[in-house]
Amino acid sequence: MENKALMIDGVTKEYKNFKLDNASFTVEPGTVMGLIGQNGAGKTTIVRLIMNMISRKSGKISVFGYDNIDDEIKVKNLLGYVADEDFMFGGSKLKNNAAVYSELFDEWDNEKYQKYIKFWDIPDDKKVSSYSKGTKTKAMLALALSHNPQLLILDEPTAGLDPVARMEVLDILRDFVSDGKKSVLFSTHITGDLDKIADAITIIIDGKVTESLNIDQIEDKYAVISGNNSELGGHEGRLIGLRKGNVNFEALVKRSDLELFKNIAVTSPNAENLLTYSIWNNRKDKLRDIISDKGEQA
Amino acid sequence: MSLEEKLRVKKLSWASKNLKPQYVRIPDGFCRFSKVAAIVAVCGLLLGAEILFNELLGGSEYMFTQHWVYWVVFTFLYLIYGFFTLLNQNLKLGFFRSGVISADGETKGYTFLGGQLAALPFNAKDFNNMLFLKWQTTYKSGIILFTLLTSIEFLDYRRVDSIYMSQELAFFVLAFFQTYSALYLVACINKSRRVRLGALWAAYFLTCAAGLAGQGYGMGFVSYWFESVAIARYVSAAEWLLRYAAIILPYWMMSVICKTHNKKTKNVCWRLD
Repeated sequence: MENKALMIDGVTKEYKNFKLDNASFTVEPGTVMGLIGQNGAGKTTIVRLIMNMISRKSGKISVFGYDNIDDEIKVKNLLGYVADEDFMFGGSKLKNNAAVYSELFDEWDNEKYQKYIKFWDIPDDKKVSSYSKGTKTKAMLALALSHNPQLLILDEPTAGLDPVARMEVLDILRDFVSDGKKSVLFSTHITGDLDKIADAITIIIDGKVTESLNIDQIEDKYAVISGNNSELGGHEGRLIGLRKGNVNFEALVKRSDLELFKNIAVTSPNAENLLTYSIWNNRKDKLRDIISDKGEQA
Repeated sequence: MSLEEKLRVKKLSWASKNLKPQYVRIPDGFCRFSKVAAIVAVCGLLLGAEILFNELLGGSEYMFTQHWVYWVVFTFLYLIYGFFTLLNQNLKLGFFRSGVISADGETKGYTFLGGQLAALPFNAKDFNNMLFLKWQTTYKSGIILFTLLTSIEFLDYRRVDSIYMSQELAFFVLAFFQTYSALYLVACINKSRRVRLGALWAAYFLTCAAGLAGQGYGMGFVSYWFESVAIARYVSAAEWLLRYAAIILPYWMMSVICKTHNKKTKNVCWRLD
């Protein structure tokens, strides 16, 4: 198998009001890639394209070297998929799902499945529709993990989970990639989860992949600076994103520009910094307008 | 279709039955299968009563079935019933997902859940093959029914009333299955909801026309075609050949269209977009 767990190369998908534009990034084996972006940025579109649930206009997607359309069945066997929505058929019992998965996937590990459902107390003889959102997510995870996939595609998996379950899932994912061969693509806007486990981050903003780097590269390339507003010294134009109060500021900046700011506090950026500051510049003025309107009306 | 593909289609069908997809919620109050079935049954009973009356009591008037309203109402109800039955069946198999489902899963009164089948190790061709096989089954059912009905006529061709009746029904069934299954296939493959609904309405009008043509009202091409078949009834061998040609030719045509369509577009009729 090829050494890239996932390769997305120049993929374009157009809808009436949205365009995923020439998206490219790769996921290395043994890593967790965080795919972050605001709501509607195109994260789910990318995930659906990988799963060949929607057609792409151009580009190429391969999983461990296999094209996701030409070798769809092989690819589906390599993928474990957990969707962001209520994608399980509610009228069926989880044990029926497991029976189907065990029959259809090349490598089904029933022992593993049983362990997961016992661990999470999932009643697999009940209809899926009777589960809470969190239980459904756990059930999807149990199914996805039990057919021994090489690449897990998770679309907002932790959104409906309680904090304990979230930690458990993150531990499972960390363990999943620990053999150095398996990988995870973790689409989320809960960036705190990624700070705990991601080895790399891809940022997507308004349908465009603006950055895709591993954690070391991020730390080498970017820095978060904070201090008194007077310390900005007229270099605001060099900042990627800036949050400025009446007295203090915090900003994302390229490390190569750090020399412009003397005696200032510097920290490494986290996923949230990268996402929020990348889009903050475009939106802060609009938000300011809304807030000021509200203030005037009040 | 290779043996391997057939096996996968079988597996897909089995998976669908086990997972029990609930794709569609028919708009409230629009259709209740039991009610429609009851209305269709009443229409059928009226027809049956007429046949019995004419056969047993020597009557010769077909009060209900000679009136065009009967055919229009009967066809309409039959089509609604057929439409929702087939829709329901096929949704369970994973069809009709294209076009009707939007990215957020909801479009104009129809709520679709799922996509779980898309995570299973099948490819787009498997779904298309299943669609094709489903259509084939529908078509074959039509051929069997047609054969049964024309057999009644064949066995009893000297008795004018019963010939008339069975001929009429045969026309109806033939027309229904030919137009409906062909248009249904078009409807499934095409991504546009407008085209699909258009195809179903077209099936409705064509079937009405066929019914009327069977009554001798005459409806242009349809009438000409059916009357040609009717004329041939006096030559039994030619009649059978002609009728089967009339059924089988469109069948092969649709097979070719479907296969070409698959090859040309790698069509993915079940996709979300």
